[in-house]
Amino acid sequence: MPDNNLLTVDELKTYFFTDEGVVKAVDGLTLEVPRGRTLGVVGESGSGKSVGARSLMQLVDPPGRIVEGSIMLNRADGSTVDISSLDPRGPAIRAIRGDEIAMIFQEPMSSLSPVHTVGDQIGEMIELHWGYTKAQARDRVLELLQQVEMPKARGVIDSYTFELSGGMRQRAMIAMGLACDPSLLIADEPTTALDVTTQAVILDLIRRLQESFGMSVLFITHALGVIAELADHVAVMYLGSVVEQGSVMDVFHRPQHPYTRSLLRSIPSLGLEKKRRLEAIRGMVPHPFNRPGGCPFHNRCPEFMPGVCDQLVPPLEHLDAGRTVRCLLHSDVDEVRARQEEQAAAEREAAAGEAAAQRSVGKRGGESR
Amino acid sequence: MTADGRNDPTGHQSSGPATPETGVGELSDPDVLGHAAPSVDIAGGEDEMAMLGQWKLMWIRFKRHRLAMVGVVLVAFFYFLAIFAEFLSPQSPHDYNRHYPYAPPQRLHLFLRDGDQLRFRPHVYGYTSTVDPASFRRTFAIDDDQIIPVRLLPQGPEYRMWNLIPMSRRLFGPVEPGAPMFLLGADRLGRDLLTRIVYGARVSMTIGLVGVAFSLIIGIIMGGISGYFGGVADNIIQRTIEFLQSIPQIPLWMGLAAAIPQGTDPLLVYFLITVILSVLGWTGLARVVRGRFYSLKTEDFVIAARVDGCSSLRIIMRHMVPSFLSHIIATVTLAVPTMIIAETSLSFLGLGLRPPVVSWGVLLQAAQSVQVIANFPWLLLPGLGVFFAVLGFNFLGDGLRDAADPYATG
Amino acid sequence: MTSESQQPQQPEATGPNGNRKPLLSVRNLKMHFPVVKGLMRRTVGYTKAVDDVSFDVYPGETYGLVGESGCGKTSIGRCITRILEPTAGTILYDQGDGRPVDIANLRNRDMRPYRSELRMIFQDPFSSLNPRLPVLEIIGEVLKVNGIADGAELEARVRDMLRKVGLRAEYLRRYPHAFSGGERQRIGVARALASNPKLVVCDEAVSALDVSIQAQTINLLQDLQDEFDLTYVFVAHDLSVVEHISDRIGVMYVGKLVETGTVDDVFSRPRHPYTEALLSAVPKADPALRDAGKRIRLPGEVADPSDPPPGCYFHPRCAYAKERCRTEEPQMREIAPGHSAKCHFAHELDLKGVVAAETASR
Ligand SMILES: Nc1ncnc2c1ncn2[C@@H]1O[C@H](COP(=O)(O)OP(=O)(O)OP(=O)(O)O)[C@@H](O)[C@H]1O
Ligand SMILES: Nc1ncnc2c1ncn2[C@@H]1O[C@H](COP(=O)(O)OP(=O)(O)O)[C@@H](O)[C@H]1O
Ligand code: SF4
Ligand code: SF4
Ligand SMILES: [Mg+2]
Ligand SMILES: [Mg+2]
Repeated sequence: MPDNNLLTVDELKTYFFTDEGVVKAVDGLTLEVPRGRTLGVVGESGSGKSVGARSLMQLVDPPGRIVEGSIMLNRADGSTVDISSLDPRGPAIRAIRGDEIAMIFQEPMSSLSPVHTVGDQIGEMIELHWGYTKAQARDRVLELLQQVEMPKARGVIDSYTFELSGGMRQRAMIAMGLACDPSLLIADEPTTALDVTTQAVILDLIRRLQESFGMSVLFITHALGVIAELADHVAVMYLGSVVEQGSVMDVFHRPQHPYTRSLLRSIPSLGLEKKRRLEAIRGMVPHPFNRPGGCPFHNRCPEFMPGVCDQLVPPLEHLDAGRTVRCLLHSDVDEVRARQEEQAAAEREAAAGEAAAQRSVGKRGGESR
Repeated sequence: MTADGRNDPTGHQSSGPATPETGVGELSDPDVLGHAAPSVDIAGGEDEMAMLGQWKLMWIRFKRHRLAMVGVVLVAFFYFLAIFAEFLSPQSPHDYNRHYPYAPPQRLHLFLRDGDQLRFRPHVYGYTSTVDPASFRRTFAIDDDQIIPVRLLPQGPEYRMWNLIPMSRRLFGPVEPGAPMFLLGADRLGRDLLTRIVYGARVSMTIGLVGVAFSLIIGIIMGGISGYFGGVADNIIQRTIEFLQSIPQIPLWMGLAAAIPQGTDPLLVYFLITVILSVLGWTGLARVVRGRFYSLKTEDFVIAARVDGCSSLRIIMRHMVPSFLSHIIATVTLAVPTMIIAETSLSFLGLGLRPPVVSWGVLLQAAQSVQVIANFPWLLLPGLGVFFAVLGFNFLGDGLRDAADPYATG
Repeated sequence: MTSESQQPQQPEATGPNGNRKPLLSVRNLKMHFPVVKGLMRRTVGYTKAVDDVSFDVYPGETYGLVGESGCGKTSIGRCITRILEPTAGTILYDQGDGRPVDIANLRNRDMRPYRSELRMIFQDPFSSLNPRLPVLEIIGEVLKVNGIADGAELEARVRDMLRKVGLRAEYLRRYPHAFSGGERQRIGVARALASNPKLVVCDEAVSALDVSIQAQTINLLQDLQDEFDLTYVFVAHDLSVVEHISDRIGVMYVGKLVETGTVDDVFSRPRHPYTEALLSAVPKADPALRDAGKRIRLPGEVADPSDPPPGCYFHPRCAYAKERCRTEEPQMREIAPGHSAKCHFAHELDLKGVVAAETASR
């Protein structure tokens, strides 16, 4: 049901071409962001959450680049645009950024300017995107600050960000995100630097705002608890790809991927039977340079199938509407093997053909791969 | 082995606090260690890198910096000149030849046409001079007919290498001692400019080092006291630094240098000039040292050393100083060129070193009037020495600064 | 403030461990930092990071300290390990011979014999290891400076320690840059335990770690505790982790302990409104509990420890505050055996704990 989704990301790949080699930060990201709902993205450090989110706005800095895949945005006027094909510096993407898709960050200080007042910074966005005058923009900023329940909004509008506390900065950041009434708000770990008490208040706020603005929220975090509190749908990321996606109830109560199951078992949770030993996942997330072949999780997976998981790349399987998983336990292994062998053979043939073609042109052959 | 991030001294880490990479599995789960073993082996090839200390990592980073390598070559070249000045220069710096005042530079020719054959016979051409009857000025022209043969290691007058070892051969020179050979021209008294530039390197290149060494000692002591102990001492030292830094540098130098009485022993002048240069030089270094001490004092690993029970001295020497030594070296390197320029400027103005000491600044003093420059432009050549030496130090310092923290991310 | 603060308090006269003597007995501990202003560095006031805190830690247990950031948890840990010199109070440490020593009032030099027994694990696995020293020297430093081992013996002990924390012994000549965050934290654990300590202060020791690494490290800490009979003071802001690892806990607010007791008591039946609010703010890792029970959201922010409000420090944020709270500072009182709280209404209030919320949902 593509019309129900605001954003459909398909097999997105964002690589960093560094001196040391290619870092496949995002490698086959497939996501559906439902309209007017909250999609939580959860994963450990380095799983590509931030790079993925930045890719959605074409904000990846060189040497990083989107190499493959599509990001289809269904706009309010019924048209559809593929963000991945836009020029990262062109006017088309600039019109989308901040207006249709807005982003808030983990460390507000690094994305708020220290030399402009809160009011000026947010107002500028509104003037830019909506063509408001200064006075109109100021009224809107005040309204926004009140909407994010900023204490003493009238005073804050003229203060600088370093004068605000952590919680207030995050509110200012959210107000800036909401400034142009975006249809999608991307929040990259907005509460990780905050105390639990402040986090709870901010999460409540985001939830309320999401309902009243009717926007979609893509909420990135490494904390499963936060997802459970906030999200309607969940995508679990591991080494650059989504291994499982579904409704929050499904994923937490009926996890299908071994990684999700392990994650859920490895966190201590309030009120659980005491002194139960945590079931830690063995090993560590490999560095992207050392990405294991086959299933990327295979060297840590408790349900590892020798000869299968280390050889075949698990394809995306649709279990239900909006419920996907990437694990060979859910695939027809023989069929996958046949398909991937065929594909490999085709690739070899293509390579050989290319080499032959090169030879016939007179160049030295055999150097393709 | 570059294929593994752990190797990368520049530390490509994700934004998160912990970036798990390959590694060991869970304790007390026997099958885990076995299971994780392959990933450890993947990393096995880079063991070497994993065991490199900071200096080697810095070297690896430094080598990647092209300009810094240019700087190394330039600086090494000038210090080579400075150290072996006696041997490398064709004459003694004080040898004058009253027949050849302001003789222009000659070209060194390697081959001599002998009939229709070219022979390897290095030589320069001699001069013919004419005296302008009106101004009584002597002007020189190169005369292709006079061939002055040149060779490596010619026999010449005795001299003492480093004032110690008696020697009579220099690297190169005219076969016949005393024949006019002025590859870079001659000065007012007919002294060989090349010789004097080489000797000048000795003074100009060392005065910077000595000056910086003084600054360094004062800077580290003052900065260390300020940063480690804080409190009143810090307050006093900081105010002093602010006071000193608010005095304009050049006038202060000039004032102090002008206070050195005429006729002071040249060696003492040299020493006093270095002291004058470091009067202000230490303030910057003290600031750097203090800043480092301050930020390191609260670093977890320094606190960990205190928990370990290390004494203050051990904490400073073993845990703190190595962490900023490299930064200090970089800062010092960048301070040397300032000193070189300062010496040159002071000497040029006649306030610094004075003849018979030979430094680039002293040599440039001869090129003060427009007329002299117009007629004898080669007298500006010592300026090129200053230029390249300063450039070399700046390149080198930049490279050192970039390599100074091999653990910084990004 | 009241005169009561001068007389030593006696919380938890009977510990959970029967009549065992505490390993560490903290009484009226104060850590005040001067607030300096201006060019002349005049002291204009004090940040009371730790203000009159008393608690006991029994051998072999894990004592958790929780509270929002800036409440003084780290400062307490650093007083115990004498990185900070406490302003006032005593920290009696039982050396095992029945003659407790007051480490709060030792001179730095006299502290040295206890350095190998009181150790610390740090939060940040990156900044807590000196990047310029190889693992051998990082872990071995404590053995060397305290004259415990040297040379080949030191190396053998470090190897042994590395193996115990689940790292390969061959790694000992590597530098920290060659390790991942989780591995580095294991090195930090090895450093803390190399000298066979009695007490280890873990200051947010797992907070910076990834979910899967965090679980491994918690398990490691628990295994090593059993193996070496260690006592932990475990500082963390993540209440789920603290609940999992601690036997007893202290809840801190603006430099003061506001509630102490066993984890089960405090978490299932909190007696202080601040504890209730903290527990209510913890996200539950189960979407079914999302709207279960009453949620308490704390308005405003932690009071400034250099300028705390009068009366009960918590009153500007407390949902149960009455007139009395604005003027009169409550005393720490034992509400149930081994369970004390610092609230005027600790006896009367019916506060929601964790289990209560969960049963409500089922
Ligand atoms: N500029 C860059 N150059 C090279 N590699 C990069 C760059 N930025 C990110 N990466 C790599 O891409 C991978 C994914 O990074 P990303 O920041 O998206 O992780 P994350 O899931 O957001 O983690 P965290 O929880 O730590 O924020 C990491 O392995 C990281 O090292
Ligand atoms: N060295 C110090 N100098 C001055 N103030 C400090 C120092 N260390 C901590 N503080 C202050 O003491 C209070 C308690 O800090 P801390 O013990 O670190 O709290 P927590 O660990 O609970 O976050 C804070 O207000 C902090 O700013
Ligand atoms: S594909 Fe195999 S290794 Fe990967 S998650 Fe599924 S069972 Fe585990
Ligand atoms: S004393 Fe009053 S303000 Fe303080 S916690 Fe108890 S009820 Fe709240
Ligand atoms: Mg991130
Ligand atoms: Mg702390």
